[in-house]
Amino acid sequence: MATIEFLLNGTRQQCRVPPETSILTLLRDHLGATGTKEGCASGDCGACTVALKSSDPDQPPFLTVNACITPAHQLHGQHLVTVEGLSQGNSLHPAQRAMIDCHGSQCGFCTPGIVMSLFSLHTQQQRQPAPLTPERLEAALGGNLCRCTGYRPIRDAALTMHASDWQPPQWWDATLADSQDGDNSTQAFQEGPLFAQPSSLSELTALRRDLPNARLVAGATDLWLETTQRLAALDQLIDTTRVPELSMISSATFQGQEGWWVGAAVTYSRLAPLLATHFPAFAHLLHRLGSEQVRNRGTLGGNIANASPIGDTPPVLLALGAHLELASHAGTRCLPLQAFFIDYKKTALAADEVITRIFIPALEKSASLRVWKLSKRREDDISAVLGAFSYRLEDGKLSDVRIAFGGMAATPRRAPATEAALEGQRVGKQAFQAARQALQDEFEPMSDVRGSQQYRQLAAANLLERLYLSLSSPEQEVMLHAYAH
Amino acid sequence: MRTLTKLDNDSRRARHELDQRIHGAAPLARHTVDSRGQRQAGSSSVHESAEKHVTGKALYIDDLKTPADALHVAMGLSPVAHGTLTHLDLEAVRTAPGVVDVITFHDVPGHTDIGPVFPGDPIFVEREISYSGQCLFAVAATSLSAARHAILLANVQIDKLPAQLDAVQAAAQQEFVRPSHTQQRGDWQATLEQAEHVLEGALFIGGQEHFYLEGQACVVIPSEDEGVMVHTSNQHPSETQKLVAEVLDIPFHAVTVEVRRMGGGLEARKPRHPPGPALLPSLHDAQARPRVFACPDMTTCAPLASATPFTTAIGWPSIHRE
Repeated sequence: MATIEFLLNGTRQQCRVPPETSILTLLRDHLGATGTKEGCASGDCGACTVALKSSDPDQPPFLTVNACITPAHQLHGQHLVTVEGLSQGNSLHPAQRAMIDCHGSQCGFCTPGIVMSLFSLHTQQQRQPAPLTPERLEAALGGNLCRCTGYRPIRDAALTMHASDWQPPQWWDATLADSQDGDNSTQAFQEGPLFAQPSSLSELTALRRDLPNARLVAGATDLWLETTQRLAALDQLIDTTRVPELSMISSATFQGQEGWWVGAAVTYSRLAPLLATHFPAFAHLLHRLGSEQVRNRGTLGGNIANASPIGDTPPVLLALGAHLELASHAGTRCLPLQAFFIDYKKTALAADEVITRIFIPALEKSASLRVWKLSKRREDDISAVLGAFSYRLEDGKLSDVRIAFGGMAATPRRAPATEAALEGQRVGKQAFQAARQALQDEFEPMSDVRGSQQYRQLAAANLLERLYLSLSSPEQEVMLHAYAH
Repeated sequence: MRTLTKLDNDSRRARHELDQRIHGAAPLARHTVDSRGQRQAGSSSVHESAEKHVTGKALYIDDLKTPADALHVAMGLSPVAHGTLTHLDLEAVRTAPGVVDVITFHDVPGHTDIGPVFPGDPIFVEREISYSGQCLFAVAATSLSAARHAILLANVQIDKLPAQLDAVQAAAQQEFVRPSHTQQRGDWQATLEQAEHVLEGALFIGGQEHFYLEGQACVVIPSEDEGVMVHTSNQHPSETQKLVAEVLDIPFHAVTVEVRRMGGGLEARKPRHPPGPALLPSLHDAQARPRVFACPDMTTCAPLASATPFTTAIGWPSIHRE
């Protein structure tokens, strides 16, 4: 078993733990640091929020993550900050001071997690002060489920964390520079437990070839629930997050289209700036996808490979006409995303392949993208239905219509008949009436806890109606952006 | 150091002052500023644990340092809401790695009913299963992971029976959890009849699954004279003391219960008693090792703390006087 070497609040730690160990288990059971709490063990409640120091200048200085679903082995070489590290003697961090002064804790169990989210926000404000809008606060605290103290005291704490007299602790800039390289071997001769961390694509594909039963892991935001909730053995894991080819975003031309190649292991947080500039509707969806803690970990490739019918990004990528690049030791191949999803959780990915990157074509001139997600909660919730619509609108006529839905079939799926009903048509009641009928006929969604079949049919049809209303009276778009005012 | 006498004097003075305020010239609520301009009422005090909360130093059950030889307990729960337990083969559970003991209904030395107010809440299922997540058996093992994995090896056979999951329908069929109870004052029927306006409506309140961020948890440490020290996250320590003593068939004084704090739940940790504290000590082990119980996953946590759904119909008079 490989040794993990990392910094915990500035102090070097060396641990040997099984591959399926989470950061939370490592902290609480192996290191006796119980300040970080276990709530749901699913990445939903945020009680276990910790922060990882980021070296990426485009990212916040400290990224919050849910310790319960983050593999401990991914700590190797990283700097982990927990609630125990924020205060120095009697001197509290401004986030802690503000939570006390604003009466932000009640039973206190979720408080360490809230404090860590506020700490991350505070470090962002220190680096580059920006208005703390309701939207920003909602994003910063959306991954902390419990607010039984009340929203206001916690919001007040966020608004009043003053940094004036606070100095970062000395260990702030500690590094592992003088440490030895870990023996996280990528050689595939190992039998038994393994957490392999390949650092190149060729190593990754070789491991994939030699260990057909090993699971690929990136953000682990979904995979890790298999061990915390269903007690599945995750004893052979291949980490894709250290492969440079999988972590890059680059602009490119593919099959004559301008666009971007996005590495499969690029996190939602890292993708956000690109989307904000070029696909505002997609960027807006990210606010509704998981929580900050999840967006800091979850990857675009993971969301696709997972092939869940209710994954949030696949319908959008389908509507945008995205392509995938898959690689194995034998070489690479490309295919349109819609050819990737075969059946429920069944994909075109061969046992020895990995998704390396995703091509997202730029929206052509006069083209638009609309994305609407319906879920019971705004933050950190799974879609009941998600509709993504891309189209060109010229002289009142629709063309290049691509419509995809999540939650309406066993896979994320295009709606070809609905698209055909709108293609080349003028925006009008008649065309949309036909589209509505086509939509009704081409999907037969299932009933589950997130919505009945009837609800899903109606909701999808209403999203189409919403598209019609948005197009026919563009000045009247109704969109709920934030609650916390 | 404050002595008891001093405390008594202090509180007597405080009570006197309060009394003066209440019976003074103005209502109490107006007395929020004293003669020195100090706010008396309406000013806030810091939560006594606030600093511990924000620094992670506040200790919840799962944070307690447990002895190195502590056993971890997990429970086998019913997957169905209503049925008859026909066969419970726990041989594979018993021989699973790390397992020290397994107990069922028949291993409980004392009372098997842990209904805190009314009887009817068996600590383990004997035959009849009356809710999903009802406890079938418990396993003590050297680690929580070993205990949870062992649970999966049980061979449980249940004859499933139709479950009544709709409160309205249950009421129509006269299937009540408790006998009906009426509270009334005056002749409300006559008042309603004479009212000029009557608004009537029905309000349905579904059952809530209470999910606290701190799951059900307790630590039980054997003490001298065959007693136990119970650390629990529960709202009613004296009830816990009573139930543990009854289940173990030991005197009340042999059971000490400490509730330092609770991670959520507060009001809702009361209605049903988690079986954890009561069943833990029942797990016999030659070395009388301490036991730890914590529910780390929602599947075992949710059923232990639920509120019953109820529906209510309200009719009220809107008496309009000319």
